Amino acid sequence: MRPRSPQRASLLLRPGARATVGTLSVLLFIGLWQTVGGLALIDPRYISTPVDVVRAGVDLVRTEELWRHLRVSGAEFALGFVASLVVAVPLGLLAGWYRRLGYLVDPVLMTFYAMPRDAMLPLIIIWLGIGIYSRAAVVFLGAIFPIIVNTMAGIRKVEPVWIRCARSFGARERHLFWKILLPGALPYIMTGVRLGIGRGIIGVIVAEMYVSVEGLGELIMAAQAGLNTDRLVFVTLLVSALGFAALRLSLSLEEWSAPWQREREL
Amino acid sequence: MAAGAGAVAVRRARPSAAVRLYARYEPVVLGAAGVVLLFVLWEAAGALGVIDPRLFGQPSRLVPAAAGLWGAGVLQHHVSVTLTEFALGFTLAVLVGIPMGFLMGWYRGVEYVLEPFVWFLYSSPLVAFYPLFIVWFGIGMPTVVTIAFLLAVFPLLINTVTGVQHVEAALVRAARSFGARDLEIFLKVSLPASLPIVFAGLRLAVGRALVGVVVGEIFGATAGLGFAVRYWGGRLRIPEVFVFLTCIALLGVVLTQLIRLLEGRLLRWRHE
Repeated sequence: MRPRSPQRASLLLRPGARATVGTLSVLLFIGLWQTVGGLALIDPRYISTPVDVVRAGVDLVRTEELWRHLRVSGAEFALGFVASLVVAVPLGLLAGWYRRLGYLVDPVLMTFYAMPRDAMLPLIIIWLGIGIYSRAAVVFLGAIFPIIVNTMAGIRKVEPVWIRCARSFGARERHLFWKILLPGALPYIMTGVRLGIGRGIIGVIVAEMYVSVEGLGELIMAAQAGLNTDRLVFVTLLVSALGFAALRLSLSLEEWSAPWQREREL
Repeated sequence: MAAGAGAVAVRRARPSAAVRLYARYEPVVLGAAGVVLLFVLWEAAGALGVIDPRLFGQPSRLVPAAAGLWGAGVLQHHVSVTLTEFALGFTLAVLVGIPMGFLMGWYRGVEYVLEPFVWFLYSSPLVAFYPLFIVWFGIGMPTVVTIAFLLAVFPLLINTVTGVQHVEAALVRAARSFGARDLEIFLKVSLPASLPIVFAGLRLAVGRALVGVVVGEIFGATAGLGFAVRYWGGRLRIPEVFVFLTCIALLGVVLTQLIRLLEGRLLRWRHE
């Protein structure tokens, strides 16, 4: 980090400076947006204005349209994500613990991990139709690979000394698993969960935009088709806020699962 | 018992050449076996009627489909469009993300001002903005490149900020006490010391840029691999869809490996 002299940096080092400056900068942005859109310096049909966005939001909430779509998206996400957890964690633990099994599945897993799996959407629609299951399947595919890969990595990175130590004190396989392997791998599993949540949310929205029957993605598509930019911006911002909340939540889950490990790759 | 233990040790020390060779290449051999097994199972399931090959494809049907697409020049066309869009989006993300990250990591004021926007956009499913981009830029390459750029730039930025801020304070102090100036500290200490985390960002950015390109092509383009998957999928031409999906998967693997190779090259000094 940059070294600085204490007298010069004093203002920015005060407690609360970060929050104050951040809030001010967001308010400034909103003010600028309102001015540019309100005075029609840029056509508000393209960028909308904050006031109109809020109005569109109030409208959506009042007509209860929003809740219906939100519930659908939430259900799809929950279904797909829980399914991916249930499959990915045991699979990752097995492939991480049994070395040869790991070698066998590694290239296939890594290929799926590296590819944008949302591209399989057209196929999934053909297989599962346009109902909730195809959209949950996109979430499932998005989330499962980060969780498997990170769980495997977590098991492989458990200190061999701990395992040997537990064995020499007479720990059985069962104890070894519950007391050493699982807690040791937990921070990695949680990293996988965080990445999986991110991919899952993208999956829900992309699938709903593609199928366009119901859900937040459909709201976005409908707003676009009707050139309703106010509503379009509102729903996209709402989706972003949900994504942000989910990211924060999973970051604190991660910290809670491994308080000793504070630095991580994002 | 001592003799027995010795015998075991000797046997372990000199396995036959074949065993040694296998042990060395076991990950590769088993990995290849895994891939082959997958394709064999897929082919067999189709042949035995467990799955309907008209819906789930079959490896033996992919080859003629691929040959047909290649012969017509369709495959090359879509691959080159996707590669161009990826290159543009990723390069833009590097050119913007890394310098901005260094600025934010170096100047606290810049960090505080931009932080809320960066975190918000990083965690938002930016794909949702694509209808706006179509309104702004029209259908095709500009929209796709914008989505790829936006998806890739934020992990890069955030990792660069983290990298700069986590450079060991002792290194900076040491450089300072030997009379180094800000610019020298930046070039000789902060920059190289933050490279490992910057590369973690680059790895994430490659993956996200590819997602952006492919998803962008599915929705807002008339060419590229994502568009091709949608186009042939809509016509129920499953073998063609699998050919393009295979291309997408291979692209993902090749690009990820390339970045790892570069990382290994540039960070050799750091090997523990």
